[in-house]
Amino acid sequence: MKSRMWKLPKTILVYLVVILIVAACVVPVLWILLTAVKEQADIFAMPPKLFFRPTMANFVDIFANRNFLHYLVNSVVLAVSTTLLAVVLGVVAAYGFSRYNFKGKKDIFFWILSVRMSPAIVAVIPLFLIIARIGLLDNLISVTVVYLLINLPFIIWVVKGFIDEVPIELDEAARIDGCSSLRTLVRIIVPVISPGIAATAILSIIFSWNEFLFALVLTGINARTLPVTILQFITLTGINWGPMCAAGTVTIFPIFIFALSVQKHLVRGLTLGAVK
Amino acid sequence: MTIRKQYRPYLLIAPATIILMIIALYPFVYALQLSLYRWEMGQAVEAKKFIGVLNYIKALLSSDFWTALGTTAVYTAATVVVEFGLGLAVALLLNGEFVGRSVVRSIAIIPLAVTPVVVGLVWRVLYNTDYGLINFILHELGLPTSKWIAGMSTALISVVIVDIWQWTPFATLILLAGLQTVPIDVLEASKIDGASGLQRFRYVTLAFLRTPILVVLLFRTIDSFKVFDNIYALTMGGPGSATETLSMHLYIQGFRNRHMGYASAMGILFLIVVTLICQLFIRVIDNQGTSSNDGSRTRR
Repeated sequence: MKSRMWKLPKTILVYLVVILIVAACVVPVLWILLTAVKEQADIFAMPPKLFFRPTMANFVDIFANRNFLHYLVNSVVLAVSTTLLAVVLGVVAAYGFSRYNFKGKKDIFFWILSVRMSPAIVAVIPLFLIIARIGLLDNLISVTVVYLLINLPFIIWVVKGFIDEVPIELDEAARIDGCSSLRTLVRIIVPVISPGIAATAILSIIFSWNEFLFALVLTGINARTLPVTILQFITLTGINWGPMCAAGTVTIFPIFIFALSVQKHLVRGLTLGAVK
Repeated sequence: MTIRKQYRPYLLIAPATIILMIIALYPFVYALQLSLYRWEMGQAVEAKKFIGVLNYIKALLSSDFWTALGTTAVYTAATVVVEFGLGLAVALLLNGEFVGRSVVRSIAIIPLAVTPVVVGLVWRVLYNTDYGLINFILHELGLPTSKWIAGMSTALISVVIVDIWQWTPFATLILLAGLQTVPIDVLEASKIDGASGLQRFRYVTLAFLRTPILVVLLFRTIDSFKVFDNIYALTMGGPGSATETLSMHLYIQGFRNRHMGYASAMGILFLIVVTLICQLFIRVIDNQGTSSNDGSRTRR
């Protein structure tokens, strides 16, 4: 039989390609981890050293000498506060879009999408000037609000999809019992879709954590976030590879855990609910 | 009472919409106005000079603007085509059966989760001409090494490769989700009806993949078109202007050369292009019915 003859080589080929894919995904990330725990001399060693005495010196350095903890806290505060704000405002709006028909609904809904799709560089020029004028440059409050540009449209679009899937009969029952619409939302809808909201919130934290351009332009010494901090290791006199990779490692580590925890909702979140 | 009921949906969407208007619409109007002035950051506000559409004309006549647009177009076309093709191939592979499939599926999305700036930094290390891993491997294999991001002619392809590394998993993830909606009994039935493997793929699988395919293409097109983080971390647009995409060009013009009015004008032009792509997207998801079931579910 022709097909049986082909089976073994084909299986071997499949596994070879799978190994290749896994290597391609893992090696670059592993490499930054390895560089982070190498001493300066080992980083530049040729051929690259795979076996060496790991050192925590680079991690100690960024926390002890480079104020890294401050920027880490900035990133955490920023990601959490903008997400909380976006979830509260976004879920209420999503409920309005899901459960009611009103004039201009479609236009407003798609305008919100276009905000999400717009290039950040176009928004950041006027935002920089406006925020400078009200004296809130390099301030976490202004960045928190600006990040709503990313997170609020995202949450409205994805959560609307979740609410659409809740049978309207649930609302109606609550309505007969005399609940107001906000009460219906909080008491009936939110508990049903809470896993979806949690996953959406985690994705929103990831987006905020990874954001770079707004943070680059709008922050300075004080409100700087991790992605901007990392690039400070590139100086005119050279690149501090070890500390830079240590900072990179600390930046991506929490995101991995978060991303794994929302794997099930990733498709939906990344496509704004267009693919379920 | 009836009037209040009419206003209820507006009350629900008002807080979010008003905030978005303040942080999106107002800056847009501000940029629109600024684009009609010659003004450099740092100058006094009085130095602002109204010049009409001169900034727009300047942009449209500037070879740097067109070069940046061309670079962005090449970058977008290359990344979207490869990411889609490769993503589909990997999705088909991961949809098959083999030992450790679910673990591999998790590993395959790792690049997606890495902070874009860190991705840039990782590849800076890998690409390094003297002690990078890639040149080392090429050298060991007896292949010619390259200057990668440091070379005038290789820089663009090098940043494209980085984009492909990070975003192919996006295509894989979405297309794999689509593949899992293809009903096996339909595939079996078409097999019994005598359809070849290629025909089954063409007429059954692809039919179910329509929406995921469009979503992947449009999301990647828009995101690639706006690319900034990777480029900033890898090359800052260099060497020369070899990797200077539109976002990078605007950043340099606005924040390094301080031509705020000019940068705003280019920003408006940029926005028009993205809006056109976005319109296409809206038409697509509108047709496939994201909002078509609203009627039956909506309270009147």
